[in-house]
Amino acid sequence: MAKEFLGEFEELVLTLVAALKDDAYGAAIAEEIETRMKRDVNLSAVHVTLYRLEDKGFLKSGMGGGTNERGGRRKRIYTITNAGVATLKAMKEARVDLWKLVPQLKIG
Amino acid sequence: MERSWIIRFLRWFCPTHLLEEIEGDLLQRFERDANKYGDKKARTKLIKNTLRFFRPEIILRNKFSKPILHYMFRNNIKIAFRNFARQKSYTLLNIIGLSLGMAASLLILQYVKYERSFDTFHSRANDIYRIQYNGWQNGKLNYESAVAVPAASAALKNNFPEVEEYSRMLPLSGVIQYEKPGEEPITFREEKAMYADTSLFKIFNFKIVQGDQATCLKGLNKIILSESTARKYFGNENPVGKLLLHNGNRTVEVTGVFEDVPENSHLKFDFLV
Repeated sequence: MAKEFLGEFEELVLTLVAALKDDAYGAAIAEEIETRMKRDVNLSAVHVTLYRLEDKGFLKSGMGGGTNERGGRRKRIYTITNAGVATLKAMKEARVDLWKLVPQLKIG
Repeated sequence: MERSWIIRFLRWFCPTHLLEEIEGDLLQRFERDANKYGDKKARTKLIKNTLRFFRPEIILRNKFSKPILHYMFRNNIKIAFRNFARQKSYTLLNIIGLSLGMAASLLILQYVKYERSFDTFHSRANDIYRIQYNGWQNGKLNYESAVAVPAASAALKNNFPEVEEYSRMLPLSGVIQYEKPGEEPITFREEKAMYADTSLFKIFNFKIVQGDQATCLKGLNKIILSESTARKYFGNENPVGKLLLHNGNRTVEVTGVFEDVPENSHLKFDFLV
C-alpha cells in the first residue's frame, strides 16, 4: 500500500487527538482549534477529518459515557493508534530536518 | 431545541451510527453559543452548522465503502480498460455499434411517441369518429373512400340518439388575396382550407381566439383564419371584418381567428369557410 500522507488540517486534528487524550471528540477538538489557533473551523470539517483519519488507521474510536449537557447524547472518543503516533513523529522530524537547511533568519 | 426541524433534517440524512455523536456535538455547541451570543444567534448558528454536515462524506459514509466490493469493482474496470487497449479496432467497432444502436432506438422512440400523440389533444378523442364511404358490389368490397356522402351525417344524427353532434368538412384550395388600399396586394396560394360547420368547435378542441364560435361560420362567404395566417396577411392589424379575395372573383369576410392547429393533428387547416 502506498504511504499515506497527511494534509495540514489532518495533522492538526491528529495532534489534538493525541493532546486531549481521554477527552478527544468532535466538539472539543473544534473548540481547541478555535481557542488555541484563533481560527474558525466548522464542526462538520472536524468530523469528516476524524472519520478519514480513522479510515487511514491513525485513530480508533469508541462511544464514551453520556453527560447531561448535551441532551444525554454520548460522545465518540478518539484515541491515537501507534501508526498515528509514528506518522506524526515522522512528519515532525522531516519538518525539523528541512528547517535545518534554512539559513538562520533574523526577524527585523 | 431537540424537536427543531433542523434536528429532524439531520436525523433524516445522517447515517444512524454517526447520528448520536453529531447530534450531541451540535447540541453542545448550541448551548455554548446560547451562553455566548444569546438564543437567537445560537439558533441560526445551529442551522448553519447542521447544514454543513449535509455533505457526501457524512451522507454516503459506509454506503459504498465495503472494501471487497470496492476492490473488485476497481479490478473489473482496470481489466476492461486493458482489454480495450489491447484490441483497439474491436473496441472502436463495438463502441461505434453500441452508440449507433442507442441513437437509432432513441430516434425511433421519438418518432413513435410523436405518431402516437396524434389527435390526442381533443378532450373527447375517444368519442370522435370519421365516417368513410365503402362501396360494395355483389357482396364484395370494391371501393373505399375517406370521403363520405354529406347527407349521411345528418341521417345518423336524426336516427341514432347516441350521435350527439356531427360536422362536415370539405377541403378546398385556391389563391387568397388581400388588397390593402394603396399598397401591393398580398397574395398566397393556400392548400389547407376547409368548408366546415360551426359544430366543428363543439366536437374538437380547436379554440376560437377572436369572433363568436356559434355564428362565425353562419352564412355565405364567411371565413375564419388561424392565428399565424392572420399575421401573414394582416400583420398586427385586427383581421375581423377585413375582406379577402378568393381566386380573384369571390369576396369573403373574415369573422374570426382560431388558435393554430397543433402539429400532431391529422386535420390540418389554416382557413375555415
